[in-house]
Amino acid sequence: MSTEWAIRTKGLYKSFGKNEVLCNCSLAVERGTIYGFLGINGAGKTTMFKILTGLLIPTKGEVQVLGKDVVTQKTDILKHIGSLIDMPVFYEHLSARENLEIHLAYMDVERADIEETLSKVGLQRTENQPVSEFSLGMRQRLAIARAMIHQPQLLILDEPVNGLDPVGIREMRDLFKSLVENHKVTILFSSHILSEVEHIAEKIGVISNGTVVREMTLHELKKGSSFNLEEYFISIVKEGKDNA
Amino acid sequence: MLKLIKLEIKRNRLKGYITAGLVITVTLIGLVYLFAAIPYLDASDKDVQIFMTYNGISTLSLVVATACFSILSSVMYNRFIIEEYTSKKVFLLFSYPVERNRVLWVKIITVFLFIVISMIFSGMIVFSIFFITESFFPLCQDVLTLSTIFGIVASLVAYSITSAALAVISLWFGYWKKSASVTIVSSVIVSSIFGSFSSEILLSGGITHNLMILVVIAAGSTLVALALITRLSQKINTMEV
Repeated sequence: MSTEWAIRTKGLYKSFGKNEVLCNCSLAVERGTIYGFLGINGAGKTTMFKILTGLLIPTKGEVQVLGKDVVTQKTDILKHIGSLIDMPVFYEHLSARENLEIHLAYMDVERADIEETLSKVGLQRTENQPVSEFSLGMRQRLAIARAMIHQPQLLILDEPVNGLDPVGIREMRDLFKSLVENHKVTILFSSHILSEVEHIAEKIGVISNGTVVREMTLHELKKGSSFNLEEYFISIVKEGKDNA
Repeated sequence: MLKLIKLEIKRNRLKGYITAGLVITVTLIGLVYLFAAIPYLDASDKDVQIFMTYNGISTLSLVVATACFSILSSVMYNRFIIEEYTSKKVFLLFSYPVERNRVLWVKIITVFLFIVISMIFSGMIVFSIFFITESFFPLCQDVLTLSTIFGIVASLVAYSITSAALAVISLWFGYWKKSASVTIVSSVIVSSIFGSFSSEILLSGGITHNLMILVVIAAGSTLVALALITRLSQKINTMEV
């Protein structure tokens, strides 16, 4: 049976003036899986996420998201993805509930359980509190709620556990796993917390100097007896620096 | 479109702008009576003749109202458009599956309609109060006829459209410089130029003559606004964040 891809990029380039941020970048995320995207600061992770969500236009190359071209079918793609890129932004004077209501209206989704979603991310009983009074962790939780409330097929999350306490990190981990297991959602996420990536990702891709240099399933990686994700990641990054 | 307008209103509270509209209305009421009282203060001055006719009083009041509502409109454009497209809020805006130029047009239409409707309401309140008191205790020596009232109401509509359209010019400058102060300062400059230019022309003619000029000014400024919005829409469509 052929693999169904949620994301597929081939020969992707992105330049800002003379600065080439992505260079011949190929990424493949299988549907219904969790993909951990690793890279040091400035490696090109956020640029990749922005291209996948239509915020940036690729300089060259092919980008398919949910089987559609990201440049020509952006609006169709946006209906089916949920994203969290950069620091989450909200309508500060409005409550969590109102923020989600507005989001649902823009996504053209009439039926969604706001209470249940807020409860899933641990924001029950904060429904009517203005977002301006939220802590960093609460904002992050609300951003995750917003990304998933319209039941997208694909979640693109840039540092989703940023600012969360250990309990929150574990809750989000369980939530992401349940979304994939019960709703067949695909998740592409980045994180600098390698233990977290190891806990939930099925496949790991490492980007270095704008190129995805290695993509492997965690299962394959763990075949070696003494696998250590940190060592693996640092060795790839060093390799990339030496080759640069 | 209506759904998007409702969302725009929900996201950006209008309460403050409604209060500002009410403050402008109260100020205009005071101004109209001040204009009507000027001939009593210094009857010897030659320029005082302007304030002896309803046409003169209404023209000057409406020019001031146009400037005030145009500046209010530029403040709204700053909040609705410049702040959203130049801050991180743009990530949110561009993550919705709605065409970018459609969202921009919705924002412009929301502000445009709010300003036109507010200014018409404001003008109606100001002149209704003034003309009611004039029928009992006339300050102005002119005769108030139905055609004068009709001319003022028609002018009010034309001025309202002009006011909203002129603010688009300041939006253009503000977006170009990505600055709230540039938006508001340019709005003050554009309104001042409009004020001195239009009062010069409009005070020299009668109400019918004025109305024709006003329709031309309103149509002209709307065309300029449309051209600027089209250009802005193209910029936003290809914008990368």
